Amino acid sequence: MKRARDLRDLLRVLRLSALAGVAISCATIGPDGRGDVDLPSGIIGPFRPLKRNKTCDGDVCTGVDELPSGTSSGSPRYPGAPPSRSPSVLVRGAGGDDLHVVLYVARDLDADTDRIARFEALDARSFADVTEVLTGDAPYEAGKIGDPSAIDVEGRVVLYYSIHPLAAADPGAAAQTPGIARAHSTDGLAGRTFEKDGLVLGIDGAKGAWETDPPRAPSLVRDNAGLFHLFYASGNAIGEATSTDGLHFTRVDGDPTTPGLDPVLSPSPVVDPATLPVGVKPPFDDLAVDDPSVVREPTVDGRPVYRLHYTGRDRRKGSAIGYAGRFGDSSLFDHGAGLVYGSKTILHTNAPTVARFPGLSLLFCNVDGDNAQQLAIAVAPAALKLPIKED
Amino acid sequence: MASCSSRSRSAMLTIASFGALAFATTSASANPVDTFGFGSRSSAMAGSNVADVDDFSANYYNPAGLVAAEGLRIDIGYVRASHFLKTNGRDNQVDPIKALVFGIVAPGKVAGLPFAFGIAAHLPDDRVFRVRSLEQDQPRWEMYDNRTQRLFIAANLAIRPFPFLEIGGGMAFLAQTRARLDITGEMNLDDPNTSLLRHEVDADLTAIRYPQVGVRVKASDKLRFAAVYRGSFKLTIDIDARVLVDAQLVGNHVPLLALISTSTLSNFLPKQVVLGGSYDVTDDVTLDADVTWVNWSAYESPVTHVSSKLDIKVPPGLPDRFLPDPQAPTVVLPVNFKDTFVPRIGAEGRIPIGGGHELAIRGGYYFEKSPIPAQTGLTNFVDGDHHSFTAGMGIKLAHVADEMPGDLRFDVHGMLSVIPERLTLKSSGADRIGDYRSSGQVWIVGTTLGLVFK
Repeated sequence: MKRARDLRDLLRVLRLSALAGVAISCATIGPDGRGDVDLPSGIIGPFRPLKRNKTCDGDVCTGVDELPSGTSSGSPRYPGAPPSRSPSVLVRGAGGDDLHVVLYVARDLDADTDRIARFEALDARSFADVTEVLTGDAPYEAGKIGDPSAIDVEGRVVLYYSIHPLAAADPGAAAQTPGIARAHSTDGLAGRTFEKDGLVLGIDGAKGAWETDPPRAPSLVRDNAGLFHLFYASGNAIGEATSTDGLHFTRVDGDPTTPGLDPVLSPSPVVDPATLPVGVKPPFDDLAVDDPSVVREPTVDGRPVYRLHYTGRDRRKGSAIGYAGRFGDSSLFDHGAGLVYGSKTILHTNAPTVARFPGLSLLFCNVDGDNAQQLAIAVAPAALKLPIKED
Repeated sequence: MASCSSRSRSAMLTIASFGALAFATTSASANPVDTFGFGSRSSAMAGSNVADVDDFSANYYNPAGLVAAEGLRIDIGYVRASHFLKTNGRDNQVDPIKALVFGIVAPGKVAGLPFAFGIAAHLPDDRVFRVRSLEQDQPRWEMYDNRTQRLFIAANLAIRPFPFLEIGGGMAFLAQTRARLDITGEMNLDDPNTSLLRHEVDADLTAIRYPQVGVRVKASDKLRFAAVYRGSFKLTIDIDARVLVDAQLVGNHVPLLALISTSTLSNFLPKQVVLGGSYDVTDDVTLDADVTWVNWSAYESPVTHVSSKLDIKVPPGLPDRFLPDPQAPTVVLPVNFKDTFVPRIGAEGRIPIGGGHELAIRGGYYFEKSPIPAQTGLTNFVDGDHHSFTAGMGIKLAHVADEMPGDLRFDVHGMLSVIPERLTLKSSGADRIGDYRSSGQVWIVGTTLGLVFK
């Protein structure tokens, strides 16, 4: 009996100990925990606008200012840039605190003769250094240049740009050759002074039926074999051409299994909104894809991945930034799932270019609002907080 | 009989206490002892001892083994698992597991038949459980990140109807959650401090019990066979939120109704069947082996199902473009995990060191093929095959004090799980995550102190 009583006492103590142990555990709030650090990501979007929402009450401040002073709170638009448009970015920084970038932008809204300007910022946001590097004053340009695309080639910056067609009745239209032209820097990678090639690029090969107007909005990358890949917009699609010298290109069929020349990216198929479930929107790019911006990178396995950000236009007269990608140096691009930047409140985004740093991407693009056209800066991943910008 | 009856009542009270506590937890994930082992002796032998277990860890490995206990046994210990899991060469800092483990085995006789009950628990330090709702394509170490962050409690009974046959079974206890959140009142968006809102939370915690049964057959004095079945369970957390307010915006009254429903499969434990054997090569050396079938193909996606509805009557003149669009319901993709067979081997050598004391040296190995298929599409459940090496030692001190008529046992163990590199190649160039490599190691150390009253 004594043994049984001892046993009961022992069990009682153990039971109370267990209750206390569990109660202590339940009453203690553990840390949130980790496990989601440095996970793989293509950092291709979705992007969020940079914020300017730091507020102070005395010495106590909350929020973060990611944009320079003068930017209205909550606005995705970048001030001080208009009328600059259609940016192309060259990454000069290593990432982290070093977000050094150079932007080439078109200034084609405020004068008869369009120009291309160079912006530079050490933090990818404070563009204090502004230099005009090209003017569309050649007869074949007729004052209508834009859509710059910059690429580093063998110690110099090469700038491709569009020559926008004039109407047939406009002065100078007879001398103009719409298409894509090229200039190269005369000061190396600084890229502040440029010399034009003086001609419009030739693109050999039969046109596809989708090429209803001259090539525009170039984006250039170079593969490991030194071959230039030109991505350009025409009609409502994006095509590709390749070249060994960067000047004479040959069209590439996006899908050799079908007759005729195919684009590498076409608009998404049209979907009747009435057939979609509640909350599912029709494609944002069912009318046209435009303004390609391509980056070529190796994956962890060494195979090349082409990352293409583009303007998607829908049949409701909206536009937003989309993403498509492909593995390998040729083939069609796959559409990504949905848009990566743009919404009902961020209207008519277009003409993207993306600066890719380790762990983050910065998107520069046009935002065409109700009353103005400006540049926007957005960041991915959206949860990332950029370093506080001290004015 | 009186003592036996008292013992049973105490046992039931204890089980009930644990059960009540289990119900009081909000939820839990899959079984941490599946992944990290349970008890130093069993863990040191790679969990291969389904036919060779009689301590508190029998509550997990084989409840039938409880009836083989030499006497009332109480164990308490601690285990720590540190993860070094990497993707693309970078440590993802998956949280460690630190847990108190303890259990009781109480043998006796009922109607002349040997009988035992046992209870055991794995009680984490940092949190009793954790739930995370991640986007469908968010990479995650599915087998380690969240599944193992939970409490484990089991209670079992065992009986030996014949000298060669032992049978045991019991339940593990968990709880799932249903909750409803109501917010009603007036919300002034122009001056939030003047808002008058009422909040109401109604949560139901519903018990989940899943069975486990085991048998052990003594084929001879040296050879034993065993089989164990562990049931499956899934835990869900369902939350319905309703916001019904009269919002004031720029002097306008805007009636607002928002309905949000989420359903999260917090975790899923597949059913398992274990077959194993144990052979005494000599009086001092035992070899164990078993193989576990794990029904991973029944695994369900942990992605949260979300549906929402927003009804706002916008006054004339206010632009509606600032109102959010209705969200499409989540379309959860099947995970398509594959069933696996997990072979385990272990050995124990016992060295008498005089005075009835004994030193034991243990080791083991098991291989677990990843049930997760190549993640070429949208989902990114990161994992790899596991090669797990275990080792440990223990000391049994007999009759250390007159006040303690029995043995004092102290065991330690360590385990290294190696996950060789796995390359994930995406089929679409537009994949948001892209290709990645994953690999890692898991280090586990633990100790158990046991008292056996004879």
